[in-house]
Amino acid sequence: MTKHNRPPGSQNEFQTLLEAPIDEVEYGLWIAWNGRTGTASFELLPDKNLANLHRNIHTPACIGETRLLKGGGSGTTVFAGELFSEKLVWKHGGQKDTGEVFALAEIEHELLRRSAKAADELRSRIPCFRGVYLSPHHFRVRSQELWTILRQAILKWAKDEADSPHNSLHGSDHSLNKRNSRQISLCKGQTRVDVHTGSVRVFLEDCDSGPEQRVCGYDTLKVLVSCLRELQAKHFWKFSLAQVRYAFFSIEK
Amino acid sequence: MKYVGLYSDTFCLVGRCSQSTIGGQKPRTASSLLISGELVGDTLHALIDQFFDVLRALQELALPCEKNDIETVRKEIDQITDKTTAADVSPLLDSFVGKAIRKNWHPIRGRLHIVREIGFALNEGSLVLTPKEELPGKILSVLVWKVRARMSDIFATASVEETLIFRMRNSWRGILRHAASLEGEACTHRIWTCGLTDAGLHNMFFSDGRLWLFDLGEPSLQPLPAFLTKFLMSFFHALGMEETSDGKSWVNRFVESTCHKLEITDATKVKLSSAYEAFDVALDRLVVEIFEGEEAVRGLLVKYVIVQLMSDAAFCLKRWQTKGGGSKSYDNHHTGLEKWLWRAIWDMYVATDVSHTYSEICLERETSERDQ
Repeated sequence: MTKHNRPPGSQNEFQTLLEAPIDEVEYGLWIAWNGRTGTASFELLPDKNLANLHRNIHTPACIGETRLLKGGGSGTTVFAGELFSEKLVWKHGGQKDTGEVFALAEIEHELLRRSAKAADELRSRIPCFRGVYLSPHHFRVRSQELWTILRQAILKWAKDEADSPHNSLHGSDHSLNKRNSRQISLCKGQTRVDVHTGSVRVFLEDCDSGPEQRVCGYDTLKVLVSCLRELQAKHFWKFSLAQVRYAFFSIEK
Repeated sequence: MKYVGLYSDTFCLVGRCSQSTIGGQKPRTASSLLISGELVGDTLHALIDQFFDVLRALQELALPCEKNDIETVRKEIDQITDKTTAADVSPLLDSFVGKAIRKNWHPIRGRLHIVREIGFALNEGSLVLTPKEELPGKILSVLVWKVRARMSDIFATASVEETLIFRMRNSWRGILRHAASLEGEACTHRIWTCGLTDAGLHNMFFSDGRLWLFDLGEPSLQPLPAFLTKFLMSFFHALGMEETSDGKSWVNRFVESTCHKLEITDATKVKLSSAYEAFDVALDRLVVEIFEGEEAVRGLLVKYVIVQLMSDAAFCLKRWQTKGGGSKSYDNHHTGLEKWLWRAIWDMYVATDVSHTYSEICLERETSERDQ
């Protein structure tokens, strides 16, 4: 990856990444959902093409044990792959698939406010949402627009977040509120993406203070995924969508 | 990688329990059991028992304020006239029949309309077909476009009935009235679907007597009969999705007969017979155990099955086009697209067969409605 040493807040921070040739942008964004804690986290991970499964499938490079899964009549490519020791089922899917896979998070969220016994009956029989992986290669020839458009999506989410009195970003409240700002920081090596309320900063730099990661809750993630789906519908993009093969609520029994 | 530690903490619970995969140790879909002839007897009843547990949980999961809107539905239905189109149907009415009306009968975007457009294009020869697509393309052009075409024009052993797509033109009104005329709470009250609206046999694992469900969508509220559409139609639909031994296509259910018409293969005749037997068991048990013996729901369930099979045929044709079917290939990396055409033909064939088999049940209700 090209090394950039621009300081945070530089006037040209967006331009820095936009200028990077696609072959040098080999990190993708992994948005992971944890249903037990009700939080989403963000991380940039090295990218990998799984051309043996499908020429357009990209996942984090640390994925293992990949294989195509049979079945399904919709024509969507479905495959198994282990990420961080967790066996996942992945879909290489468009905006409809994103909605369907993310719906698992919505279901998990909704079950919490419904009949406990019946909710347990369902939880023990269904998979749960794990995350969405966005590779620069998912954005095909429009890869240079990736960060610009993603920035707009996150801006919309950030604005909605700011407008809502009920939402807060898990774990980031006090110190950030002092600056009248909320923040998510995504760090991996020399790459860093900062999202603030009302502004987004995307730049490459050395992270002297070490990686920092923040997480958000369900409502925030829902808005973000909704924005991503709009982009998918507009540009016919497909992402790698992950769900857990385990009904972990039943495993605890 | 510093973040790996953080992720390991998050996921350690799952990692420790890696043997408890959804579907048991050797997961099999219920549709594969059906296709292999194993979904019979105790296995079939055990699967239905498990599915009924899910249905009862879904009934319980609906909040009291979400359950009942039947009076509003009936009032809106009373206002429907001959001039009302599917596009005018309110979201409330549409959801009452599983969102089937606008999706299928919308005069511009409806699946049945799109099928007719594709049929027109096939008939006038404006689509580019590969050699393997020519036969199914020709059949489809008759099935969905030719006016007054009969099933027996195409299929060697089919009835002389008019093809289904023409008979279905305005049937959404009858379906709505049928659904709203039912009386029991199990028929009219809504359930919370938990995203299981596509819960057909193909989206169920059944192993060691336990049922798991996958391929969920967004949760919504629907009356139970509408919710059961995918489950019941899948007894027939699954046969169109049996994978070939190389896993690259679906088994073609048809062969050309000596009289240059199509007939279903011998293997298909056996599988279809088994599918009907399993379907009848499921239908009987649903009426008795879930709908408390309200017989009138039986005809509605069959109508939903027929509509959904036709709808899925349309889906296949749309999918064929989306993947490049009917167009010059250019850099298209997809091959073997003719499988989508054959699957559409199967769905249409079996929809007509179901309609013919259960015609008395469906007609019975329509006659009594007219008498009222």
